[in-house]
Amino acid sequence: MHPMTRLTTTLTAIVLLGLCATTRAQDDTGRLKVIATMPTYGALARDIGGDLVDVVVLCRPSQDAHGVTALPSLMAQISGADLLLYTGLDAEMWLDGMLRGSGNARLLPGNAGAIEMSSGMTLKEVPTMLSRAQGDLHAFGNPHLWTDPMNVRSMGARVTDALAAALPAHAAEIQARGQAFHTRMTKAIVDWLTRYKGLKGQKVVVYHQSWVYFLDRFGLVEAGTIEPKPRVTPTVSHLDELVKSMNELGVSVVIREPFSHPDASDFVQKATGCKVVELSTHPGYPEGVDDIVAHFEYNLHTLADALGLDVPPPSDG
Amino acid sequence: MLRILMRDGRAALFGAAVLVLAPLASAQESDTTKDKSNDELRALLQQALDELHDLHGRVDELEGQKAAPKSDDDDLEAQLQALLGEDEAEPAPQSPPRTVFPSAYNPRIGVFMDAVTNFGNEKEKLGTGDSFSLRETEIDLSLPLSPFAEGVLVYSIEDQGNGEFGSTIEEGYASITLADLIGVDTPARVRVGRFRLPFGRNNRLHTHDLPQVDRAAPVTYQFGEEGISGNGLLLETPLASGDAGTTSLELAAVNGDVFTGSEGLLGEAASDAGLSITSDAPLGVARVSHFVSFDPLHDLEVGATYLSGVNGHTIVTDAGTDIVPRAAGLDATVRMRDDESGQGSWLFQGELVRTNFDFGSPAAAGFPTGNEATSGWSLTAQRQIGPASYVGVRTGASDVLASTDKVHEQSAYWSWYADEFFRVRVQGQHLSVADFGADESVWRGLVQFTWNFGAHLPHPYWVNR
Repeated sequence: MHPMTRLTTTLTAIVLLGLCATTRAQDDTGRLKVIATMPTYGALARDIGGDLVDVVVLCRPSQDAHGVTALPSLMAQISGADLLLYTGLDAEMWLDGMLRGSGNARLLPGNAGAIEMSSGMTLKEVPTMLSRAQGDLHAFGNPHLWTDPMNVRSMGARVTDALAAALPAHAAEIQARGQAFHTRMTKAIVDWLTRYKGLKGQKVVVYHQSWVYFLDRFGLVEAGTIEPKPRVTPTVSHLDELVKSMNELGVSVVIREPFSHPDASDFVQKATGCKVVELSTHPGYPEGVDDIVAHFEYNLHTLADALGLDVPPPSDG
Repeated sequence: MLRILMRDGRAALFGAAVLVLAPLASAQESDTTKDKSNDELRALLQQALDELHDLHGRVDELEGQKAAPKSDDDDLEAQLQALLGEDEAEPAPQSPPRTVFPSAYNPRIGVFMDAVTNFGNEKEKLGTGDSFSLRETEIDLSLPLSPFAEGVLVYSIEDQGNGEFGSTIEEGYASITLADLIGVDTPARVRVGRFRLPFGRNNRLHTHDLPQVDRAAPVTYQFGEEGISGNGLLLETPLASGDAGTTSLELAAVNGDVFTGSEGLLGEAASDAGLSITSDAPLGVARVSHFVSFDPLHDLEVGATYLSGVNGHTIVTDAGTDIVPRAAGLDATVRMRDDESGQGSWLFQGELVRTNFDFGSPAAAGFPTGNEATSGWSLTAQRQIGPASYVGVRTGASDVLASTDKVHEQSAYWSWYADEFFRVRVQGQHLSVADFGADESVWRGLVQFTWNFGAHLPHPYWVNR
């Protein structure tokens, strides 16, 4: 046999064997496999899908949601998934490569399995001019929509519709769970807006521009950022300016995400005597705060406590 | 509906009562002997009226039950809207509608540029290495071609010294998702075109993605400064995935000319010997790797690669000599993060490469004869010392392909990402080049600036952010 023919035959056989060996096995549990890019979406899918879904979350609660590494294990999880819950816009720049690496075309944006959570939502901080000179700007606007509980309530409805469409035999059960989530979230938001009324007008400094939706919802005022521009490491001169501004405005609290380096916020803390609170924008951090309602309650309580506000206990526990 | 039924039921009962009462009154006046019957009828009437009263109560109760949940939800929503209304006297401004521009059908473009300053005694000892060099400009274009395929072009323009630049297509391929193309439910993908060979870890990285300024010794001295790319076909697929990790397979069939180009070490040797070498036969490359996450902070990847030509028909010299290349590699990468914050981490990486060229007969002048094996290794230890700063050391040694040289290398480096689009790296390096006992000791100081603009890609795997 000619060597070329032999090699071609061998390679063809290997490719066919490879295809047979790697054909996706059906999920014998019968559960829908859901990939969530963010912990908030994962929590929604678990809450509304219950035992009908298996959920894999790509970004850890304490991780920078813009910088998830495309690990082979994550790609393998995606390859067999049925549904993808993702923010869209330019929040997950890493997702495109991961989806392509997984070979799961059903989850590519635009296909039925890909659910864009930001769709139809009102964006804040939409840039009027796009330039990298302004730092790592989000081209479509601030994508941290999940920090506003009202947005999360709307996302719950989107997840409900997506799960009900994917599992028509269980649509009634999913709709009921979705309605229960909606009611629970509504009650919680009413409770928070009432109990945490004292947050209105309070000035805080944030590390990264992750919090605009959260701050606006509860009437807090962003009085500065530790990053001079999005994702640009703070310089000493910027921090000096920030300290001066904080002293003038009487800002006493800095919000820092778990993935932000503590050096800069520690510097500000020493210079101003302010309190630095570490808050995650997602449930799951700190450990044990896994539920969405508990997550918002934790963040609000921590913030109110740092600001020295008296807050009544939750209305119905 | 219930309400209507109940209302109808009340009307029916009322009608029945009237029908019963009318003849009853008439009978009472005309026939006193029927008092007993009348009493019974009155009792029946009273019973019917009691039942009617009970039904009224039941209707009220059911209507109340029906209305209650709706009322609660409505009340809740009204409370919420009232609370929101306190802050939202004016409606929130709507974001501008997203518009699909025709330019969306143009490729995503990313440009990487890499400038290196080289000082030390390399020029004096080896005659290579410009003081200042725009070492590489890489233009990346990519675009979905269809629901199942994406096109990628990586065009590289390299500084070749003396102020001259040469360009090459480093990669240019269509990546095809088989699931949708042939209707088989498989995660496998196929690349068709030109791509970096999936040999180990270092060879597959683009120059701007390297953890150090230059490539590791075994790749540099056995495959060439740019590593090896080839034209052909590549199948990539996970083989198995579970709690024990993910096993992946890559199979490539490429033209044997990956070693014959003038930039390759064999090509250089042939050129020095005044020979021309060609290949029209394919090479096969197989790589199996296993990735395991022990927990969110620790992971390990090990891989094994084998490359082989086909007996007697791979590389041919104009003297009629057949050269059969073979290469094997082992690699391991360990990443350990200090905590969830991603502010501190360790990376350890090792790679072993052994090539074996069978220089058949007749012997070509200037080329070795028989089996010529070269081998090399490298080890890297890197520490993340801040959110965007990394320090590391690398050591390694390698025989030089188609040569009697052997190179030992030790490097120390520091990398700092000013932001996602601009990086500075400083590397000190010592090279010990041995050639038949004549040792050359070369010191290099390298300062590298790397920047990119356009659609940027996420950081490579060794950056823990």
